[in-house]
Amino acid sequence: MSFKDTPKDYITLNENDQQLTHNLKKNIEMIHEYLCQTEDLMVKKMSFNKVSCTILFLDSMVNKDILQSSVIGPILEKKSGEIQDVLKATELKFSSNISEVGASLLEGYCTILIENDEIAKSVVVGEIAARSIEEPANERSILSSHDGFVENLSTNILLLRRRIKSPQLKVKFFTLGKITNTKVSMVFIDNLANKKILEEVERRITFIDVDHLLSIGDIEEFIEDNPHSPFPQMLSTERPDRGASYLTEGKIILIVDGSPRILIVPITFFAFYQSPDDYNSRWISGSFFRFIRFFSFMISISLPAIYIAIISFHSEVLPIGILYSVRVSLEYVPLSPFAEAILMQIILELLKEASIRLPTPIAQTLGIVGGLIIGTAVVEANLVSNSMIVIIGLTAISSFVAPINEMGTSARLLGFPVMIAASCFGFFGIVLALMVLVMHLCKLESFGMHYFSPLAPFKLEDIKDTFVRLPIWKLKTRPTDSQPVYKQQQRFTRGWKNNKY
Amino acid sequence: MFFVLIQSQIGIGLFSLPNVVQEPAKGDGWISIILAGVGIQFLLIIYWFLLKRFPDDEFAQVIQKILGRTLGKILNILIYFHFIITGSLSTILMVKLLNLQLLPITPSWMISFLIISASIYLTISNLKIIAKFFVLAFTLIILLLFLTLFTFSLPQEIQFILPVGHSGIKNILIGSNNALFSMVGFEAILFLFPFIIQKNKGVLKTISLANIFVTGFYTFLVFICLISFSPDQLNQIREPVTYLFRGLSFKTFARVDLIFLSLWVVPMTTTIIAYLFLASKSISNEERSYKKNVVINGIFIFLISLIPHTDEITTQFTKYVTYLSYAVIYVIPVLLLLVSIIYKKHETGETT
Repeated sequence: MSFKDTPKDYITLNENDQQLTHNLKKNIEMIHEYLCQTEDLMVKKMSFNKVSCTILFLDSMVNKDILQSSVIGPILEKKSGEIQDVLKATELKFSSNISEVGASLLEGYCTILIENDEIAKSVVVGEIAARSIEEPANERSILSSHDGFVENLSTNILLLRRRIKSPQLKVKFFTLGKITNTKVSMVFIDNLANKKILEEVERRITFIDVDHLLSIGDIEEFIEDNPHSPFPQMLSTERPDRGASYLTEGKIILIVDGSPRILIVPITFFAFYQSPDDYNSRWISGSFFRFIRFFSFMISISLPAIYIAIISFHSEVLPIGILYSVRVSLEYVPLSPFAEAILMQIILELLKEASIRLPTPIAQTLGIVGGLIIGTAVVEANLVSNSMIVIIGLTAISSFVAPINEMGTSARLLGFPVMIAASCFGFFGIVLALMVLVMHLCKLESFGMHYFSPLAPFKLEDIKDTFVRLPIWKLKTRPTDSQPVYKQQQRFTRGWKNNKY
Repeated sequence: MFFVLIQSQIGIGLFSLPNVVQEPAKGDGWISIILAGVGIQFLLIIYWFLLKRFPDDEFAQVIQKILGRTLGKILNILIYFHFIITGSLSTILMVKLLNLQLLPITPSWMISFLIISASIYLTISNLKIIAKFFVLAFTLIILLLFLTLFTFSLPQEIQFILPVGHSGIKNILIGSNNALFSMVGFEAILFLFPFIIQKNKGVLKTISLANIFVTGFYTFLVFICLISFSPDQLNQIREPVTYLFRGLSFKTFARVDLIFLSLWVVPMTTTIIAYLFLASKSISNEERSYKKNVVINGIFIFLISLIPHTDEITTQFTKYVTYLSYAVIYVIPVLLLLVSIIYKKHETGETT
């Protein structure tokens, strides 16, 4: 089969596309047939304009109150007139096509079929069973807004639109997945987002040809540039304020219906170490937090490796005082530093993995047993040295500092190859491993844009909102990593200083 | 651009530089470096005149245009050898240094294998990405400069370099000659020129700035070494710069030189990357063959780096490489410029 431009074509093409007829009974039959005789298809017979008419709806998909008040009630009351005027509907669809009728039934419409009329009227009466808007559990904030995206696509767009009330905010829909027919939307600011990136994202999305698309992770793997890289090349977040701020930088948001996380493209490495809180605290503390986060990345990648290298290769680096205390703690430990580190890292990962899905009270117990009891016992049994516990503990904590959890996990995983390199070649191994890592970061691209910007290529003007957060009135231009159409984002905000009346 | 040149110039040569300069020129070694820098500046201007005549051609094509097919091809092969061998020499020296100071037991082939695989990994992508990486690596050079400031806390003797000019012009010139190998890398401009987007006066300014930076940097380091160690010491120490840092110690780090040396792996690798890139670029015309050539040349460099083990062979090797460098760096471009002036071959009129 040749490739079709829009995935929507699949739906109409795949089914035997029949037209509705004048015969009411046959029409109902056909719809039943189309939906495989499913038993939650309700058929309610009524009469209108003294002709028999039928209301069909999927019992599970509609809100009975709306159905009653906007469709059944008016028909029973008026009994005659133009059907369009009688129905109290916000959205009314006409179609004579069985697959279209079927699709709208599946989306929560109810369909009205009238005798001697081959056009079906569909009215939206869908039930929205969505969780209420609440703060995302994995991206809590202290100073920023406390709402989060939910599983419902239109609620998510609402959250974005409420923040950016611009006529330029554009939404594009795709339907992906032959079985699931999942709605995917692409949100961007039309006169700001780079057209080349837009085209590229659209091009990649149209290539997705799958049966089921259930979550944002699927789409991420389908369209990312380098699927084998340890670094995430798209930022997924549950925070609408974050999403909105990236929209105003000219980036593009992808939302999948049924997933509370949204994807932001293109993204840079440093975005993973920024948080909306930075902009709501004073700029000095904001900059300080940024610095702490980058420091945490360095620690979680290289601290155990440096320790291993020092202990097994270059103990002369340490001054005599520190060397002595480290050596004492190592005295009775039979394992090599590398084995120690791996052992402790694995214990830590086990604890984390075990406690993450348990209910809170049990998880607490686990924390006590794992953290306190195992920790002290392991040292007392001379399996692992005291200093190693300190190192691994620091590493673990700093890997959880990353505001986006994905990046923290990547950093922790990258610690392993660096540790191996350190245990084989000492400092040289660490430098080599980090060098290859930086090379990889330089090579990596997110939708054709530089992933390691603004460091490589170096752009001084973008540093102001990367490693530090300068006062907001200093940030006169947007970050250029996504190449927005125009750069200036504010004018003389503090002009009042020179302009006294 | 600026950074690519700097990175290909600064590298392994740095460590032994004070030693090789000091041998003939004694306390006037720092003058030698400045002289070498001035000489290079002249060369760069010659390059500039040559390249301006052929703004859109790669250097290999330029040679063939000026000298005809056969002669041009021979020269190209010579240049290719120059790059490969200089790259290998850098690798050999680097591996030797690491073996000596950091990893005494690790087999040297392992180190060179790791370094060259890393180099291939970066070189196989395009020039833009290499330049991006070089810019990052430049921060390490800044770090070194910063570290050297601490060495002023060590005992120093300004008298080692006094009186200025005591060793005679001839010895100073020999010193410059010796310094040359540490400073090669600027010939990269011959091959990078077609890739520069804005070709106006700015290019000459950039390459001159790079040269001035490198010369200044080296002079500064040599100067510090000369005043920190006595002439006798310098004759015995092969890599004075690392010993310079060995004297340093802080509360938390007792051996700064080890950390510094490990970090310096990166600038040394960038030199190898630059030569690998140049070698591959000089023999390949299209995108696909370039990638293949990078791997093949990488393997070449690796194999060559396996051969010499003793100091004498290395010294011999260095000597030959220096002669080859002379041919490629001085003779060929000057010759080309002369020929092209005499026969009035240039392309600026034709292309525009």
